[in-house]
Amino acid sequence: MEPWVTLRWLRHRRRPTDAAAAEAAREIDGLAKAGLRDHAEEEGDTGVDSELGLRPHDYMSPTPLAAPGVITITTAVLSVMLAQDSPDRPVVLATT
Amino acid sequence: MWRVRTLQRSLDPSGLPVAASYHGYHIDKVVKQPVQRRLAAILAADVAGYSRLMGVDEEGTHEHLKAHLSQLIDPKIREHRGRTVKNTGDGMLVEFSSVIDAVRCAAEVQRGMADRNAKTPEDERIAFRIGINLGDVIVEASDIYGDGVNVAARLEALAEPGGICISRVVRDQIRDRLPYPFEDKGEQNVKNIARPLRVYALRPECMAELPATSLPSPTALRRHTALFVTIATASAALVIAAVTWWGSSMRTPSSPSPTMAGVASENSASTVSVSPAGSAPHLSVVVLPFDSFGDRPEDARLADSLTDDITTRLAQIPNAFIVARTTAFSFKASSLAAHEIAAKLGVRYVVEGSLFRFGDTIRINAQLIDATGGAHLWARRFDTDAADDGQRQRDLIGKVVRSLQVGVLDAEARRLDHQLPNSLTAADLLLQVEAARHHPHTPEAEAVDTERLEKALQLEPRSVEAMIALSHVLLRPLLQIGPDESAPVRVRRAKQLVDQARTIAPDTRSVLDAQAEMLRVNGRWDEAKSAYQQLLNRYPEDRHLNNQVALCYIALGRSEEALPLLRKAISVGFDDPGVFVSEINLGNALIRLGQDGEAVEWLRRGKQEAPVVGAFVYSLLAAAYAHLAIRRSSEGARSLHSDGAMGNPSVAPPSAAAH
Repeated sequence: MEPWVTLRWLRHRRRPTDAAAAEAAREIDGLAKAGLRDHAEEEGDTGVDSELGLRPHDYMSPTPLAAPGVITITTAVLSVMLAQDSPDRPVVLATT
Repeated sequence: MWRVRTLQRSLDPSGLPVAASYHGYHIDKVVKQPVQRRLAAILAADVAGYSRLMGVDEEGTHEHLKAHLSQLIDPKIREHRGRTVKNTGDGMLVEFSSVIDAVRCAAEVQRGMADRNAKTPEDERIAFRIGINLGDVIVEASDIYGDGVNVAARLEALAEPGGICISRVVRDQIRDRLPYPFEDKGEQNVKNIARPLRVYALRPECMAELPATSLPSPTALRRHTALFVTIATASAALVIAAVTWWGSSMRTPSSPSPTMAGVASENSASTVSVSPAGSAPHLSVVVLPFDSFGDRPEDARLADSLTDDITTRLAQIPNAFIVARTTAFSFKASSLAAHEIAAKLGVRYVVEGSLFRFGDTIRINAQLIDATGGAHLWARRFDTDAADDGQRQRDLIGKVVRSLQVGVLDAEARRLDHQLPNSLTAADLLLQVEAARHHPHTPEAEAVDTERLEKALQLEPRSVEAMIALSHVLLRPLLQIGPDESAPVRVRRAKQLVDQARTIAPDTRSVLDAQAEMLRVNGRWDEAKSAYQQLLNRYPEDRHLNNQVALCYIALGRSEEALPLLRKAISVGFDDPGVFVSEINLGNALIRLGQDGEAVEWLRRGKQEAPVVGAFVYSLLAAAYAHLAIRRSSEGARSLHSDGAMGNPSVAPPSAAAH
């Protein structure tokens, strides 16, 4: 199964109607009981090409491990940085 | 004279053998002359608006029609080695020695009629509609019967006045051998024919661009022939063209037309033509009656039913020629070997098999033979519990038929794989894509399909079939896996193809189906449901359409309404190789409704039939097992994490599948 197929991914998928979301929830609940992972491995390679630029659609798609000109950090490192009382402390912009 | 097995229900009042009634026991006396059958190209024609013309000017119309027949139509029939079989009120039957001759004759008649009508006031013009088909016919002294004749008559009714309609099998035989621009009119529903007909039309406007006919002028001919015209011939036209059509498909345009032995001699005892299997058409199959060992009549019925179902299913393969069951059953008592029967019928492939029971088991052996070389291409054994259970037997028949359909397609696709690429026709390429449809849809397979269909469109730029097939190949990964970066390009190209197909063959099933698929891929589920539902209203027994409407209901969160549709899809599609999709979708709907036990049953059944089992199925099973809260939930969890799911590149996320 692809690394991005997680409970979170399934729960956040767009459904055409509320009724569809309710029906899908039962299926997802079953997968949760069966042991489907909650979230993706942070360093799992989804095979997405980092040279593609901005994605114009389907914002919930997998992301690349790296991108040209940027430094990537893990969540653990981010956590440490946020805990620091420093002027260099990063700002996190949450979209949800 | 012919020594035959007695007929269980004897003969019907017409003297024809009763269908599916040949099983029984031998008698050693002569029963009856065999029904004479032959494969024939059938051309039907009639006068458009004949009643109106007669109402306006009875004598004048009669005279004009006689003149057309004597001066143009009869000479053209003779020129192309035709033979008039029968005249009716406003129609007639004629026969030819080849399908090429039949189509050429029809085109030249229409071309000639355009010339002859040029100086006639429009409301006095006599215009013929002509339809041509190829099929198996029952021959009697002054008439012929059979489905092939009926189809020709329906094609004729679809033709425009001054135009010609042909069936797909005719189109496939003439291909590029004749310079007539037949248009694909898509599938058409016609009266008393169960399946839609694929129709190709030559429009009246095209006639003017054809070469002028070589007949003498009407005035010159009138002097010599008017006296010989009979009132009988004045009543319009149905034309029969009997021909070894598979032979014509293999010969070069300059080679002579092969003639069927059965056609050449009306009095011949032969019921079929003799044609070497080596010159058989590409996908031509005879399904020989399955043998049943033992003396149980129910086993004999099951064997006959199996033969019927295989024949019916194979006949649905596009561009295939399948020998009619009645012809195949005439070999039931024959001592000829399979390859000899194939040679007599001029077919490439032979399906044969047997049914017998041992202990509590019914066993069916089935095999596919390449009659040109004698090679066994495919063989399988199917067992089922011999308990008197209609559903069990139906399941067994379904398995055999599904497997054979895929086996036949694969055999022909493999043969085409060994042909020179430039020798393949659009129909060949479409068949290769159709065969691949029953195998795993990998990116590599999609690339091959795309290349083949693009090539088919180069060869036949107006092929609706190729347009729709390519649209489906492009959209398939989006429907099964979900959108990716290629989605906009795929959708744009697919829309172009569907729009183009719609301009050529609007309101046809394949185009409407593709339009509904476009709605689906764009997430417009409600509209897609309505579009599929409209098609389902026209074809209520269609597995795919029942499945598609159900799929829309599931996507919209109305799984309860999907259940009856999916159950019907599975019932009517028991012999459809794609039935596993409906079984999996039913499992999916049941999980969403909390009916996990039954869901597991359907999912396991679909899993057995699927050419490849993706993570979608494993995840559904895992969810159902987990909900059941039984120990086997661990089996479900194992399924989810099994190598098969983890390592499969073509896995689909838990969304509804389509086929």
